[in-house]
Amino acid sequence: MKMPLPEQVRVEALAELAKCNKCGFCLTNCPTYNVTGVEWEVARGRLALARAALDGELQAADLPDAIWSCILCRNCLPHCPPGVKMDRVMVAVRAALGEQLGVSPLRRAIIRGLLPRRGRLAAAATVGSLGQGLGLDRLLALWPDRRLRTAQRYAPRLTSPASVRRRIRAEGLYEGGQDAEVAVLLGCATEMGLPRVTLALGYLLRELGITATLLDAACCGLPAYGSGDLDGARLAARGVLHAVGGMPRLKALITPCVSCASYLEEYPQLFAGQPEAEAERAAALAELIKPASVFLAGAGLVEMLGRSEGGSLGRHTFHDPCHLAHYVGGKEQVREVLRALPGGEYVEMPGADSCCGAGGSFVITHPGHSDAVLERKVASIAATGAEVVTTACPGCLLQLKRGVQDLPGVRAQHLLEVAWDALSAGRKP
Amino acid sequence: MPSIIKSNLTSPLAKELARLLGPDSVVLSGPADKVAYSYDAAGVRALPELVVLPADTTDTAAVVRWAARRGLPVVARGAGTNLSGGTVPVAGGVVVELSRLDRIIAVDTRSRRATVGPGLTNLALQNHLAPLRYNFAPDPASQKVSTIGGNVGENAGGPHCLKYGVTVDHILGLTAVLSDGQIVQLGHGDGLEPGLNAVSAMSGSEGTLALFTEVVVRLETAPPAVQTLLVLYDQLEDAGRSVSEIIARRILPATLELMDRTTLQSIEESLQLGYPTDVEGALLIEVDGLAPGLSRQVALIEQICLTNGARSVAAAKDERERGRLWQGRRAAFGALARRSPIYSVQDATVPRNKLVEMMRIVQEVCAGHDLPVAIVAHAGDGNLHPIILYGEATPERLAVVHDANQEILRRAADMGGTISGEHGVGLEKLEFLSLAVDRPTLGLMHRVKNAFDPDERLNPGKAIPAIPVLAPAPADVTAQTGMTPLAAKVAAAAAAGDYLLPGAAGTRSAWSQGPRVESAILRLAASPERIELDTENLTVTVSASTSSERLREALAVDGFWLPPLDHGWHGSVGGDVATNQFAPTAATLGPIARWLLGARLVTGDGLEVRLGGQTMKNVAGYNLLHLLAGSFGRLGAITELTLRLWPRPEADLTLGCRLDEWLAAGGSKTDALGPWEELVGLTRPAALAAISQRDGDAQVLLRLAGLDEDVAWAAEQWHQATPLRALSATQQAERWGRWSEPLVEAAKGGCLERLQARPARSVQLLSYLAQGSGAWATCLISESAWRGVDADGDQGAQAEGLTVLDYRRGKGAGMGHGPLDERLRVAFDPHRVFAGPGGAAR
Repeated sequence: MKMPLPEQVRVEALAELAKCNKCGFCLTNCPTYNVTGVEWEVARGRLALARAALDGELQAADLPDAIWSCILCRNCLPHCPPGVKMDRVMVAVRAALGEQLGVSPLRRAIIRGLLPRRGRLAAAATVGSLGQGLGLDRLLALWPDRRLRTAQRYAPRLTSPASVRRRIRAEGLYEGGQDAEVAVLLGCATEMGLPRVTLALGYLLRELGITATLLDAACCGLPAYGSGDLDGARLAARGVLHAVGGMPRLKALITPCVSCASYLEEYPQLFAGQPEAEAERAAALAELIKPASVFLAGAGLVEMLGRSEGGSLGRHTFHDPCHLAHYVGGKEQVREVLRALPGGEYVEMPGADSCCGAGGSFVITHPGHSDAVLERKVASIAATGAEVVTTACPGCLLQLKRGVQDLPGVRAQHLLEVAWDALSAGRKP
Repeated sequence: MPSIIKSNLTSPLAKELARLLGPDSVVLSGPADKVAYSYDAAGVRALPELVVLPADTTDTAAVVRWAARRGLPVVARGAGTNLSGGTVPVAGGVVVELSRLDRIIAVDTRSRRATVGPGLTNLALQNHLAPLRYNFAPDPASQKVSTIGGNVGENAGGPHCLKYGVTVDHILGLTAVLSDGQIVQLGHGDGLEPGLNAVSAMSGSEGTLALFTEVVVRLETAPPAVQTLLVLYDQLEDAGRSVSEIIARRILPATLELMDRTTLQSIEESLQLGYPTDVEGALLIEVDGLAPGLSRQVALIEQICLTNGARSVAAAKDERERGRLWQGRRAAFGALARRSPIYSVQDATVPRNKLVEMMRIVQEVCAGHDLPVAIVAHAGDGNLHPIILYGEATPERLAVVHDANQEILRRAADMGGTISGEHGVGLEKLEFLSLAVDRPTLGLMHRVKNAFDPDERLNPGKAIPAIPVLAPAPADVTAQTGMTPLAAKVAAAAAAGDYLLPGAAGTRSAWSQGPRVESAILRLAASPERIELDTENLTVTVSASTSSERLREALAVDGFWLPPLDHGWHGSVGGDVATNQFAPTAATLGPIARWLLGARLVTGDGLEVRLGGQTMKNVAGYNLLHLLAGSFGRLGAITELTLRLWPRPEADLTLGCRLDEWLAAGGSKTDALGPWEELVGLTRPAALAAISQRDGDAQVLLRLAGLDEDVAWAAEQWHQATPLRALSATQQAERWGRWSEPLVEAAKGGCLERLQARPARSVQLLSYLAQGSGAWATCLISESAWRGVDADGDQGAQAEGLTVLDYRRGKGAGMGHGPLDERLRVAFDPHRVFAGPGGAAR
């Protein structure tokens, strides 16, 4: 029995699928192929399985984990002569599988019920931080399921968003209000567990004289999209569109998470076929998106760093998030910032744009793969001799943090944190 | 690698197999697993029964053994990037995926060898070697993903073949798993291992003779300097003439890549590099070598191209620009794929000087069938890749493409070319093989297949067609119509149960067969000497009995050079090949095997076969050609040889000094090369040897051959670093003339010993050589030597750290016996005509 693809994604997925000529160049740097050596863990194989399912040669139930173990990292794309966008095909097949075989209730609850709802997310973070304070999370790690162990090691030290908001008010950050021209979508990970990044971005914006507002939205929709849940993605995206709708003078929507940035740019596709007003708003929004680092680089950060002294960053290197390197772009701008950091010696990492293995929920759903991919990334970091590795995606950051635990003397930080630390160090009397 | 992927055992067969294997091997048998391993890059599909990813040699052998018991086909696979369907399991069975055997096991730059797993990608090996200033010469365009094991199985080529040869020239050893699961270690060490060069027969066997679980590769020194140019042409013929003239003017480029207008247009669409899209062709030229002469070569190339009508020449000024020039070439494939993802790649190869003519034919044939085509060609070796962008894989379209391909291959064969230069015959070209290989030769190939895999389970349906085995001509048939006199004589000997020993002058016969049995020598000298020089193609075809000295002189007069002839011995070229004659340039420029392109041979039952051809690259059918090197007349009577040539070097200088001076300056107690290994890499000498006459002083000789300024610069480096001083022409001739003195002694009644030291033990080798009184000669780079020994002298003395091959009169066992020799000899010589009285049953 042939497996049908949902209408919205059908045409594009089939077009991408048709481009594959089985040359095999995707094997060059696929993270999952690198750590398994199995044909269906690489683009060519996954596409062959998708084709077989669509043609009825394989039943949906026969599809192995291969369809879910694709990180959607696009590390294959630069090497693919016809340029097949694997993510399009994988998401389409995942959507089809969801329709045919159903979706796990827990997954659905998290993706639709928790992530897009800022209030619930805040509550979860608060409860979670209490639990971590009491050491209850370590109980989780004792559970025989490797996924929970990995989740426990991966998760950041959660903070109650209320406490972060108090700090922001006290420091006078993000005071733009609804009339601001710049809005910041923090994204779920930053909001729940990386307050230093929130603060660093706030300080940097203020230093550059940019008035910004924290957008009242929680989730960009990428987790839902990655699962093939397009309705769920739209649910989350509407939250963003709604919040943006209340900011009439908005000229830029920036985010410290390049994954969010790349998905926000895809809203026009997400809302194609939806009521025209929504589609228009999605298209308008997509024009305004920039990763925070890229936005700041263009807004004077590089020059400001250049004028600054002080800071003892030492040798540092950068991990290109997949969404930066292969989706939204901005590698060069980021490197301008990196090279301008005072007191530091920037060293390019071999395979800087190779995936770190985080992949959103991938780290928890596929801990074996994730750990193995991370191991290779850690070896690349070690090869640079750097003391600090920076990145521009909270998902990558958390993965690198747990990875560098094996490298004494090495720490992982968000580029924004490091930039602010450098600037403020130069200020100290 | 430890396994994240668990076995998926859904059938009794899979479960049975998994029980035999270790925990790190993976067995997959689910429906999705079969789909994933049902194809390779050629696009044809067939489902296997199950898939195994073995973790090591033991498990690989266990799988093959089990498959033999179960009567299942076995299809070996690296990364599955094969372009001719060679890794598609058309008969079902077991796919053995070897990509997990991907370690770099050992690297020894001093002995210029490395041992790697077959699953290591070519590029991963290059990247490992580059910081050490070495490389692995074959670098096919697929190197990012294709594996070394796959490269061996296909005898892969790449853009550097003109200057550096193909994969078979760079494989020194293999761990092979045979069809019954037996594991054999094969190594020929360029003639220093006993027995036949079975490794060479494995290269290009496309998984039909054995599986490889370890590969020993030869390392090449990285070129000290490289220069790249992009030349644009309004007329393809101008490009062709430029290539010919460049070579005629004694420049040997490392790369000559030609792209046609369709290709350039696609690249421009993708990358916007600023190429004009109205040119007919672009030639990417790369020259490498020593820095001093490089700029003159570049200037000369520019001049030649412009004189021949090039529209423009752009030489890269720095590494960045060089990268940009290559970017276009590397993007060609991708750009074409973007234009039309569905395409068919061909691999026809013709003699180099016919390349442009062949390109026109391809364009004409495709136009005639209404098929858009783009052509990318390795202009240096005549290998073209027509890429037919046929658009849609409908049965009608595929039939048209098939007809066009057939026409193209037929025309290539008619021109003296072959049907596949590097992609392999696989499945796709099986029906065309007879265009390139005649029936007797195909029969021989099938006999070889039969010797290794009588049940036809290793990759069935590939590489050679399943024609009925050409049964050996019955021994009692004396002469058949159409046989040449020589073949008739062989057939007669077979009938009479006689032995024959091929030979012209027979000056080296004693080594292999013991006391000369006068009547037995199958003299080829009766056939006249014949030298056919093809100056355009840089090849020469000679009758096997042609004197090597006469050939050397004839070549020199016409401005050509065949380095393996520079050994000073007066025998035949056929004898040089049959004895794998040790020459001073063997370690640097390759033994004579590396220079062989083709041969005609009469087998032990009178079959007249033609191995190889005239082209630099030829993977149509098994590579049985290199087996002849070092075969000592056991495989048949060689009647004709085709060899490739280099232009004669502009300057040819030898420096010399006494060995004791050299050692005193060297400072190493074990390695005579001492601190000068790097200097060897930087100056790329043609030879570095130590030679001693009987009871005489040992001398070191360093030969530098190349452009004037390169030789001058290199000589200066050696002059400063060592006691070496330039010799006069007379001294050069005299001292190099002593190289073959050991042979002279052996011919006078003594014996010959061939020796090989383990890496960095050359001082030990030298002291061993000095102990005897006979003449000796050694290559200081390969630590390989020979010497004359008295007939009653020590019986093959074994010395610590040395391998000694003893060619001793009377025993005839000088060449020893490798594990696969019996099978190969039976295939070539079923009636034991060439086995000789001293070397009957093994």
